[in-house]
Amino acid sequence: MDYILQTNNLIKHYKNGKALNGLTMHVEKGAIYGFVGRNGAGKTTLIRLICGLQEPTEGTFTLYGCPNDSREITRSRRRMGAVVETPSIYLSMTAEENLKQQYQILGLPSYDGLRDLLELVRLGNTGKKKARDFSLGMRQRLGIAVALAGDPDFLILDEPANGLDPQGIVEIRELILRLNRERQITVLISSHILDELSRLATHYGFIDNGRMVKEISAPELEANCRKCLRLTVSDARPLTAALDKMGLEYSIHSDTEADVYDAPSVTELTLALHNAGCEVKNIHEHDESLESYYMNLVGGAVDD
Amino acid sequence: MTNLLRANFFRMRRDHVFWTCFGTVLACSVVFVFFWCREDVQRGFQVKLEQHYFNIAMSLGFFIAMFAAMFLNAEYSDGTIRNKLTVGCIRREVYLANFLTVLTASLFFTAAWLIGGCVGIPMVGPWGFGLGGLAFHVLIVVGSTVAFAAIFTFLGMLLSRRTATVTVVLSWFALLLAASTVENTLSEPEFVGGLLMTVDGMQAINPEPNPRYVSGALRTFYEVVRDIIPAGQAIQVQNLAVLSPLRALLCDLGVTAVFTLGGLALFERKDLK
Repeated sequence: MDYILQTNNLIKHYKNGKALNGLTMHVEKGAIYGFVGRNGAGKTTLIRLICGLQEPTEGTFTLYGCPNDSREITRSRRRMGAVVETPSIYLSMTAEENLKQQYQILGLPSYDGLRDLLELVRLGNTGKKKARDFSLGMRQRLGIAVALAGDPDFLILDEPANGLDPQGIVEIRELILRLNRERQITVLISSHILDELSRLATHYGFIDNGRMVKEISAPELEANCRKCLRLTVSDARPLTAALDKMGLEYSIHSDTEADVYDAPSVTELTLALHNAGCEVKNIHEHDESLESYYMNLVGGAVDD
Repeated sequence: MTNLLRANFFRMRRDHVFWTCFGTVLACSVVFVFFWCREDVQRGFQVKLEQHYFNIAMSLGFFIAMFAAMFLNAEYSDGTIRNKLTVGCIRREVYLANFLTVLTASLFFTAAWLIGGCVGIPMVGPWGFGLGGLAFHVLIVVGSTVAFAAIFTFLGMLLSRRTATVTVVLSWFALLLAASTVENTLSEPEFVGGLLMTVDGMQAINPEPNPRYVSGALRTFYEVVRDIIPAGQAIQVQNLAVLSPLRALLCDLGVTAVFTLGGLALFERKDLK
């Protein structure tokens, strides 16, 4: 597997305690990695470490295979862009000036592509308007444009939808999807808005108390959360025979438990099982959302 | 670091605080020197340009503090310092580029003051101590400017809270207060005497040793302290009484080295948000 980012047992101590407590995660190349966790779980701390704003107390991470304690890590960081917490833009400058500033920091020989970048984030017509007069959504998009100035292939976005109105959220979502599909940019997004994240992410990492609780791909998560009938029966063997005969998709969990997909008629199903000599002890509809999946994982209320 | 410097100068050229400080220094220099010289000419006093020319030296530090505080704090308040580190800029280079930017702006302010003060030449003529004397005093001012830039960069880069701007500017007042206190102590006369008013008229009193006068090693210590504080050097230039120019320049070098190396070491370890 080709990973852009791997962390290994990362620990970060602050004066008031541990923000990261042995975090291990893997971000695959080409993925949109949804990083989910409650407030104070350690999401932003991890992003600060990756971006070089802070140093880990213990543990390591690799960026494009380059260890964090290597001198070469700065070269690896050249290939990434990030918007950490709030968009990092000079409020006293225009959108174009902000991008020119970043082009100069990167040492780019010309301003070629600057207009295209502004058009990409739909800020091409802001003219001499200062960033301080921008809406939050415009600032967020400008922050992303600044992060994209170096043509990165890894983009880190910390709560990109925070404080945005519904239209702003849709715009950011479309932008992220376009960047991932058209430019093959790997994206790491931390977010609280699980519903929004579920429309984007190809992979998820669930973090709690500074630890990775679970990493899972979107198809796996979908399979876990798929709407189904969960049956408890006397014996799974006649059950599988009956389900095969009915042409239904199912998964067997144990000798007595199975999930049946494709929303079959309950009457037809129970009759078929009765005829196959299988006693149905319990049947209920199982439909888990990303939110309930997350709640089950971390075991408690989300502290938003 | 060239890229960082280029980016900083790009921002400096568009920075309102820089142009406001530059314009204010230039205007103050022109206006004050003009009025002081005109007043002396009208009263028929024979004055030399340097008697007014260096009066603004002391306030240069304020403008340097103001610029450093606002320019550097914008990187924290707008969060843009993250844009530099995230794309792999080395912290040491970020710090040094910011120091050089503050220093460049400081030298622009110094130049504004020097140019503005020339307004007095048509009225009282050029500097009485010649170009050599001018260069000597300007050198001391430039030395103290470098030291000021190092101190204010140190504070501006290490204080990332919203109160940082106020703290940096207040630090200039603190330096000025400290320098003034030392200067006052050193200005005490060795002997005190005076005139006593009696019924028979004025009567001279024999001079007596001044208990507040500082002498010996303690005096040397105070003099070194005055040279270490950049504001102390500015006061000496203003009074046209630079006691030991070499020591003053060495102190500037020492202050710049200590604050820059210390700042680099601390900034390297600083947790940024």
